[in-house]
Amino acid sequence: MMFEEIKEPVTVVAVFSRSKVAPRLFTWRQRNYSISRVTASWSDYEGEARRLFFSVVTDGANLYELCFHTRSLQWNLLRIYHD
Amino acid sequence: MSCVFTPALSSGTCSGSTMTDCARPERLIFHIDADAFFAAVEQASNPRLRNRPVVVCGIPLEHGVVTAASYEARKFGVKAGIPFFQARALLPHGVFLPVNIPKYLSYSLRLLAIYLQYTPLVEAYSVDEVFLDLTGAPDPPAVLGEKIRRQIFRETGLTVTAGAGPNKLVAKIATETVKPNGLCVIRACELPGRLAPLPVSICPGIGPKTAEVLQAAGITTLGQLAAVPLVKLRSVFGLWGEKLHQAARGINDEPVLPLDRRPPEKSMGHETSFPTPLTSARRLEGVIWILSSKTAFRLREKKMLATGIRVKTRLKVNEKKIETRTFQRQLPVAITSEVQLAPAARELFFTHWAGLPVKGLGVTATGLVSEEAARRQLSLFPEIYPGVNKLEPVLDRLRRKYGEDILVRAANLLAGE
Repeated sequence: MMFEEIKEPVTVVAVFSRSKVAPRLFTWRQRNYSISRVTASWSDYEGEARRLFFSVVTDGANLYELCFHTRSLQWNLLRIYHD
Repeated sequence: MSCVFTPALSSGTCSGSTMTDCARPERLIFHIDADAFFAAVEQASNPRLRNRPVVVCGIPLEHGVVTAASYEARKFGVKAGIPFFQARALLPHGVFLPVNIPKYLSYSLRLLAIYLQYTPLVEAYSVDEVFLDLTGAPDPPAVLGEKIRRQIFRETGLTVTAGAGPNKLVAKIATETVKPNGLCVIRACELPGRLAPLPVSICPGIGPKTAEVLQAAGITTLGQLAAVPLVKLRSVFGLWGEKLHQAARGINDEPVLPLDRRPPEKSMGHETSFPTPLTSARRLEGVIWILSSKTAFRLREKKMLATGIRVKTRLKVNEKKIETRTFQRQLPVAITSEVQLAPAARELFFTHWAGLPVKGLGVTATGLVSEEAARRQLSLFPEIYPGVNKLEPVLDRLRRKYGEDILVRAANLLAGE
C-alpha cells in the first residue's frame, strides 16, 4: 500500500448536524466519489482556526483523507492511499 | 502465580492470587499502555492496513526516523529510532506512513474519555500511557482490567496492555511482563516474590547504563537487586541507590496525579533530531533560534518566565557512538523572550561544542517562575532589549490567530541554509 500527496481543493457534500460534520460525497477532478464510510476523524488548530480531518472509504478500493478548514470553509483532498 | 490466556482479545492474561489470599484493603493502580500506538492508530483508521506491517516515520519520510512500528513490522527487526532507509531495507513490502500527531492526539483523547468513565483519578503519563487509581472499585482487578480493555477495543479498534498493582511502579512493571495486548495483576501480598525473577531492565528508571553497572556486579534480576544491602547501593549510586533499593521490592508511594492536581511545570522546551548530522555553525544557530522561539512562545502563553537554560546535544562521536551531552546555566534575570533565550542558548552551545557532528539539539527553559512572582525582579532590569516588549505581543497575536509558523525571524532561516 502506498499513499499519494494530493493537496487539492475539492467540492464536498456534507451533513452538518449538532456540531458534527459528516462528508457524504466529493468531487475531485470532475469525478464524483460517494463516501461509504468515515473510518476516522480528528482535528487540529492552525492558529485559531480549527481544521477537521476525515479518513473516508469510497465505493472503490481506495482510502482518501479530506480536510475541512473552518475559517476558509474550504475542503481539500490531502492524500490517497492505494495499493 | 497463575497465568490464564484468553485469546479472544488478550494475547496474555496473567493474574496472581485471589482476593481471599490478600484480604487486606490496598491501593489498586492500573497502568495502561496502548500497543504500538501510532502504528495502531493508522491501522485502526484504515481497515486495509490491519494485520499489515505499518511503519510510522518522521517527515520527510526519506530523511526521517522510525517513530513507531506495528508488531507485524517489528517481526522484521524494524523498531523506533532506526532511520527510514534502514527500515525500508529490512521491510521492503512494509507500509511507510508519515507521522500524524493531531490524529494520534485525537485517539489519545478518546482513550482518556473512556478511562474517565471508570475514575476521575487519571494521570496521563504520555500520549499512549496512563495511570488510573481504581482503589475501592467493586470489581476484582482482573475483571475490571478486562472490561476496560474490551471497551477500548470495541470503541476505538485499539488494543492496550494493562498492568495492575498496589502502586504505579508495580503496575508499570506488570504491564511490561504481558505486552502486547495483555493483562497482568500483581497484588501487594505477592511482593517482592513476583518481581524477583524479572530482569532489572524491566524496572522504570533502570536504563542501559545502570543495568550495565548492575550486570558487572552480577545483578541481573530484581530479586538479586533486592538482596543488595542499601549501604552498598548508596555507595555506588548515591541517592538513586535508595530508589533502586525500594524499586526492587516494589515499594512506591507516588500518587496518581490527574491534570488538575499536577504541580506547576518546572521546565519546558523543544528538541529536534537531524537525519544527517549537522556540522554547520550557521545552520545550528538557526536551529537554536527556532527552538528558542517555540519555547519562548510557550512560556509567554503560560505566563511563565525562565530563570535558567539547558541545551541538550546528541553528538556523533564516531561511526558507532552517539553521545548525549547537556549543558545548563542560571540566567541573571528571569526571561520570556526569544531575543533573550536564543542568545543565551547560543552562547551555551558554542562554548561547549567542539565541532562534532550534531545529531540532535534541544533548548529548554528551566527554573520556571510565574510572571507575577518574577515581576519584582524584572523591574530591576527594565528594557534590556528595547522594543522586545512591543514586538512580541504583536507576533504572539499573529501566531495565535494564524498558527506558529505565520511569521519567523530571519535568524530562523539560517537553519535551512
